[in-house]
Amino acid sequence: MNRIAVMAAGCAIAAAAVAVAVVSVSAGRLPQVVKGGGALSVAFADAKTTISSAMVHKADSYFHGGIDMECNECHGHDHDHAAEHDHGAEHDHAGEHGHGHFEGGEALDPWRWINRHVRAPEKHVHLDGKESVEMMPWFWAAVRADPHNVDAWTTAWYVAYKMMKDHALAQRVLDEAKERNPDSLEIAFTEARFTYDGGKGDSAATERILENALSMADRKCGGRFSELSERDAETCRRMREYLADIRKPSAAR
Amino acid sequence: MRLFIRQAKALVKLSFVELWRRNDVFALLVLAVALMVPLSLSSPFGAAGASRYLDEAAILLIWGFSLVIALGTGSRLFPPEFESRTIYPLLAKPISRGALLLGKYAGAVAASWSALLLFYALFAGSVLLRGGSFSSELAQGVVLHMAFVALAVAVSLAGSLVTTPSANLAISGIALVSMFFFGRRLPEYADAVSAPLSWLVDLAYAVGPHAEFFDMRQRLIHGWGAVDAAVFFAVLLYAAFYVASLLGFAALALKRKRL
Amino acid sequence: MTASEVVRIEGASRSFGDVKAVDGLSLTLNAGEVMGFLGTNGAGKTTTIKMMLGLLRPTEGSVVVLGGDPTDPSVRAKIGYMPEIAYYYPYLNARELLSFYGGICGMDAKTVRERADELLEAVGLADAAKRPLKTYSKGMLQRAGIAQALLNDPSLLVLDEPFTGLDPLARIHFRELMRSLRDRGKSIFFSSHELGETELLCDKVAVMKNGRAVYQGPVRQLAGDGERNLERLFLDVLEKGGAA
Repeated sequence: MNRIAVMAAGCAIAAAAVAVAVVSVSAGRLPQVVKGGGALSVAFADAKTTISSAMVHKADSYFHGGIDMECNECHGHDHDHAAEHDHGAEHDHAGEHGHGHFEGGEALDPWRWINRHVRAPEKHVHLDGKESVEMMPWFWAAVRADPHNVDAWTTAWYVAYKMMKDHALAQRVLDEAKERNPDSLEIAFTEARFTYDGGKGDSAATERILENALSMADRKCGGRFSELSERDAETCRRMREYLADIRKPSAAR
Repeated sequence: MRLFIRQAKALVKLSFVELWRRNDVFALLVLAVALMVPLSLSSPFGAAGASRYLDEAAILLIWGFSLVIALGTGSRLFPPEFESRTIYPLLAKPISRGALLLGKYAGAVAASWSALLLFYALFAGSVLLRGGSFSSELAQGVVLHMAFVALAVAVSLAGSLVTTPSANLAISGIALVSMFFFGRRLPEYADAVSAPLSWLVDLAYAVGPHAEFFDMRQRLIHGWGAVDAAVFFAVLLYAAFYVASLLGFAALALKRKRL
Repeated sequence: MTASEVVRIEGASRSFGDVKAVDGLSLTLNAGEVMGFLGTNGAGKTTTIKMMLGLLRPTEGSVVVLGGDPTDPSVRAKIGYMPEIAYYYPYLNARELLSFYGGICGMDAKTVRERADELLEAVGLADAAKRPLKTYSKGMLQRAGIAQALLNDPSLLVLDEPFTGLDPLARIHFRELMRSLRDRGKSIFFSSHELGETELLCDKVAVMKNGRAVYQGPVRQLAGDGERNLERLFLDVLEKGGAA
C-alpha cells in the first residue's frame, strides 16, 4: 500500500514534469497546447473547457458562500436569484440576506430532510470586499485549464476590480488575459472599461483601445459584421455604444 | 463480560498495530504533504489571502484518505484470517463468532479513527499556522466524519464476507463515493428516467449508504455554523442503525461461512 | 463418558453436500494419552479435528470434549490447537502474538507475559521474540504456533501436522516437550503424515480412510513384534481397508 502511494506520488510528479516539458516544446504545434497555457491545460487536453467551466462554477459557489446554486437541496431560496447572478452585469448583491429556507413546499422524505439541513446554510452570505479573494484560486485554475475561457478572465478581473477594489490585481489579470487572448473582443472591451473607469479616466486611450478592437472585429469578419458570432456582435454593439458615450461632451454624459 | 472486554481489547490492539505498522497512514501523509505544500505556496494571480481553497483541498484529501483507510481496514479484517489460516486457531480459542466480529469491527473503527484524528489534528495545525480559527462546526464535522468512517468500515467488513477482496473494495468504494457525490440527487435521477430503472434508483436512494449526510465540508470551509442538534443526532442514529444492520448481515454471513 | 475420557466421538459423520468427509467415526482419548491420527490426504482427519474444536458440527452422531460441547467457548478454553500451516499476523512479533491470543483467551496481562516468556524459551524463540513474524521461517512459525497452542495451559492439545517445517533439532525439542506435557497429564491428539514421529510419540493411533477409522489401537499392537515399521503397517491397514 505504502509502495503504491509513493509510486502514485512519483507518477504525479513525473506527469507534471512531462506536462511542463510538453508545454514548452509543443506550444503552437499541437492544437490543445496553447503557449503559456500551463501544465493543467495539457493534462486536461480536450476536457479543458469542461473542467475550466467547473472551476468557474466552483468560484460561483464560493461567491454564494459555498452554496451550489444548481443544487436544489442546497438552497431553499424563495426568490429568483438569477437576476443577481449575471457576472457580466453589475454585481449588486446584498452583503447578507437570510432566507426562509425550509418553509412550505413538498413533504420531505427523511433523507431529503437531513440533506436540506446538513447541506444548506441557515443564511445566504455572499463574499464581498477583500474576502472575494477566495474566488481567485478557482478562476486561476479555470484559466490554467483553459486559457481561452474569456468568461473566467473577465469575471476574475471583475472580482479583483469591482469587489476587491484591487486595481493592481485587476491589472495583472487583464495583462495576462490579453497576452493569452490577443484576439478577444471581450477582453479588449474590458481593458477599455478599465482604462476609462478605473480611476484613470483616459478617454483618448480608451477610444484607441476600442477603435483597435473594432478594427480587429472588422478584420475578423472581413467587414461583414453580420458574420460575427452572436457574442462578438453583441460585444461590438456594446463597444460602439461605449465609444459613443465617452465621445459625448461630459455634460451630456 | 470481562472476557469479552479482554478479547475486544486484544482485537483492537491487533488492528491498531497492523494499521500503523503497515505504514499506510504515513504513505498517505507523505502524499498529502506532496499535494498540499505546492498548493499552499501558490499565489493565484499574485493575490494573497485566499485560504478557503486550501481548506477545501485539505478536507477533501482527509475524506479521500479516510475512505481508503476505512475500506482497507474493514476489508482486511477477515479474508487474511482465512487465507493465512489463522481463523482456525482463533476460533479454537474461547471466543464466539459474534464476539470476534464485534471485536474486529471495533478494532478497525478505532484504528481508522486514530488515523482520521491525526489528519484533522494536522489540518487544524495548518489552519492555526495560517492564522485561522475554528468554531463549533469543526467538532460536529469531525464527529460526523467519524460516524462515516464507522459506516464505511461496516460496509467493507460485510462485503468482505460475501465476495472477493478486490470486488469488495471496488463495490464498497463505488457505492460510498457515488452516494457521497450524487446521493442527494438520486430522486432527481429517478424522476428523469423511466421504470424499471427509476425503481432501481429509488431503491438505491432508500437503502444505499447515504455518505453525503456526514459531509460537513462546506459548513467548515465557509463557516456556515453547526447543524441543528436534532439533525446531528438523526444522522448519528442513521449511522448507528445502518452499522447495526450491516453487522447483523455480517454475523449471519460469518456464521454460514464454511470453515 | 467416563471421568478419564477427554474426547469421546460417537458415530460422528459430517457431510459437505453429497460428500461424506467423516462417516460414522467413533473414538476416545483418555487423560494423559497421546493419540496419533493417521490417514491419506482427504481421509477426513482435518474435518474430525474441526469437529473436535467446535468449528464444525457433526451432521450425525456426537462429539464430546472435556465433558462438554466444543462449540461452547468455555469448553474451548481448555483446548489448545495448532493448525498445520498458519501464517500468523505478519506485523506482530512472537511476544505480541502470544499477548494477542492471551487476550482472546481472557488471560490477564501479567499471566500472559509470564507464560509467554516461558513458552518462547521452551520452543526456542526467545532470541527472536521481538522480530516481526513476517521475517520468520516456516519452522519458526510452526514453533510460534506451538507456543500459542500451549498458552492457556490446555488439558487437551490438538495438533494438525505439528512436524511440518521443523528441523531435526526442533523435532527432538518438540518431542521432548510433548512427552513432558503427557507426563503432566495432558492429552494430545495429533494428525500427521510423519509415521516415524508418530511411532516415537504416540500411545495409540487411529488410521482414517475415506472418512472411516480403519484401525484404532495401541501403536505397539499395530507394530506387532517390532520387526515391521509403522510405515509398512500403515500401508497394510490402508490396503485392507477396514479390516481393523
